[in-house]
Amino acid sequence: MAGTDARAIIEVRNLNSFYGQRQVLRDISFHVPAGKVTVIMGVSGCGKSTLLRHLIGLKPTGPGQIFVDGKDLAAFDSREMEAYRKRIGVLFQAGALFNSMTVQDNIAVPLRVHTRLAEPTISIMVRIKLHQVGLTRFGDYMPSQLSGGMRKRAGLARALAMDPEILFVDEPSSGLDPITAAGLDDLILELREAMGMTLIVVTHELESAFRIADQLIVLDQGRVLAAGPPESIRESRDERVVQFLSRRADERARDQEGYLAELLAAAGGRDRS
Amino acid sequence: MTSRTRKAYRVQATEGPLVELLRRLGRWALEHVRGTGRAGIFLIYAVRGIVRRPGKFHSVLRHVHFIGTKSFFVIGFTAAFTGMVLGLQGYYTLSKFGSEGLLGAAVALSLIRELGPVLSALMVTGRAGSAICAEIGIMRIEEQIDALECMAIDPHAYLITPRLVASLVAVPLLTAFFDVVGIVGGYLVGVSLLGVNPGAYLDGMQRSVEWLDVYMGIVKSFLFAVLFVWICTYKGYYAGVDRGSFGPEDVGRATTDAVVVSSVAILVSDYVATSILL
Amino acid sequence: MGIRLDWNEDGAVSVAIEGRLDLETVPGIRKELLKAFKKRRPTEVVVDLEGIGRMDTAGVALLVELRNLVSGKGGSWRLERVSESVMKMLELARLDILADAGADHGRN
Repeated sequence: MAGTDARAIIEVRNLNSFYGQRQVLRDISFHVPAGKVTVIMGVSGCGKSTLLRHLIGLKPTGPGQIFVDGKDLAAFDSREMEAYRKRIGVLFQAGALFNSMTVQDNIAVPLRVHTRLAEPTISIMVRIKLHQVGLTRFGDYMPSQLSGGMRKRAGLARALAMDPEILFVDEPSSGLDPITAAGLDDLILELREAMGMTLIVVTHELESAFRIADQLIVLDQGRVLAAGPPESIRESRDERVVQFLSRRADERARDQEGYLAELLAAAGGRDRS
Repeated sequence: MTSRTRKAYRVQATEGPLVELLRRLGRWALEHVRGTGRAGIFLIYAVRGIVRRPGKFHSVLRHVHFIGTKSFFVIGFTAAFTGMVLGLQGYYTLSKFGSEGLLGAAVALSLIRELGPVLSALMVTGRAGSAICAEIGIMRIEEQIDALECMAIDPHAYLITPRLVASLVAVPLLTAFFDVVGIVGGYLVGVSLLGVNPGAYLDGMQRSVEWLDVYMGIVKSFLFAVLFVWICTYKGYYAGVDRGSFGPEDVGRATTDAVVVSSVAILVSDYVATSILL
Repeated sequence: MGIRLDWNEDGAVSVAIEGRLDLETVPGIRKELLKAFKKRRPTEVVVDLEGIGRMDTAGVALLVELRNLVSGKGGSWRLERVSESVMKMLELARLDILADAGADHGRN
């Protein structure tokens, strides 16, 4: 369904990534179709946040390439990088609001720097964005006065300020209550619908992932375990994919034995000394 | 342990230390060369921000307020006591040679040429430098700097440049203020307390302080203004980056580092600047 | 590209906006409209959106501002020929109210 008919806006080809000696991504390849929601899914520590940092040009690509509209991201000069970043919006995991200014000033930052819009227009736009993320009356608050979930939503409002063509979202639902999280999922779908926005969402929440994804990419220990539309992932017969999808229950059972062994080892070690 | 493993161990031990020493030396040297280069580029970007992104007057003003206005009290206090102690020490030393009349000149010259610029810069580093470093360090660990980059906003121009400009405005003014208060402090102790002739104090000062002395003080205060902001923002900007860890303790470490390195840099560069300017 | 104003004799004006209505074009269009409305206060404003290609939040904000300006001074206000994509943007901004019943709001 996804990926085949739509234009690929971003293409990742054989990407590897390292932190020092440790390899976090291994030979990753996939396409991001324009105007669709691509969800990168995996347990924490599987390298999905690192992948996101590569995609937004914060971490230089090692072996392997990322193409944006067919052009190698690593070969971008500073002007091209600037142009790319004006097309994207990024919601960081903790919101990354500037804590020296109010929420509304935070949202206005990109507008004030990059556009010649008049202050009244900017202030209306900021209010529209705040309303969209459900923070209508919190514009005057300082980030430190908001809860983690609210900060995240304010961060989303800021990421949306320029109406980006591509929106990157790092863990949209972590730290949010289920109702707000579902509201955020709806907003993501609405953005795709109304603006034809391309969304790349990194998450470990299976439920949310299946609800919003046009295309799912399952990462496991730095590798792409499976990729495709959600139905095909759900119906996959691949043992590891099945295992991933039912991971939680599975792991707890397996964990108990390891846990027991660990406890015994610790007790034994203590005994001997 | 079998004999073979023991032998292997010994072989490793004989060639190990030298290689290891060289390796560490090389790594240390490389790190420092890289760090220095990075710090230089960092400053160039910050200076470039002055040209590239002019007119953010409001932001500069906010930092002038923070670096300058808020340091006023502590600078005045330090200056008063420095001047007073100079008056006291100067009086007893000079009176040994029967030349108390030179007290004004001695106080003014030491303040204008050395103590004014150095002590103001050190006080500002302690008060504002640590705060600046911590503020930027927190922006680093909370991904705020990444967020700026992703908004296509140059973090150097946005964060560092206004502080650099503000420091260039505030520190020389604070130094001038320090000099004046210090001279008044010396006057209070020397003239009012110890009975030096007020005319001699002021006249000696006027006759001995030359343009070169004032010029030297001004040049130094500009130099220190750049140094302290450069080091403090740099340390904050790269807090935790080399270790790849972004926790509060990385900000703490960076802040301590920033204050120590800035203070040492101010004192060392003071010597160098003096030897060049004299 | 740009805007066209058609004044009626009784002070009603129809504003036709052509091309994009986004971050880049809004500052200019806004300036032009405010200048025109300062010169001559409209009693009725009809905004024709047929020629609009792309509209983003800046465009929505401009429409909000215009509406407040016009109806604040007792004039009436209406959007005309709202395309589907513009409607979607208005809905996304939770401001689809701008498109319908505009005239009623103006008379209050």
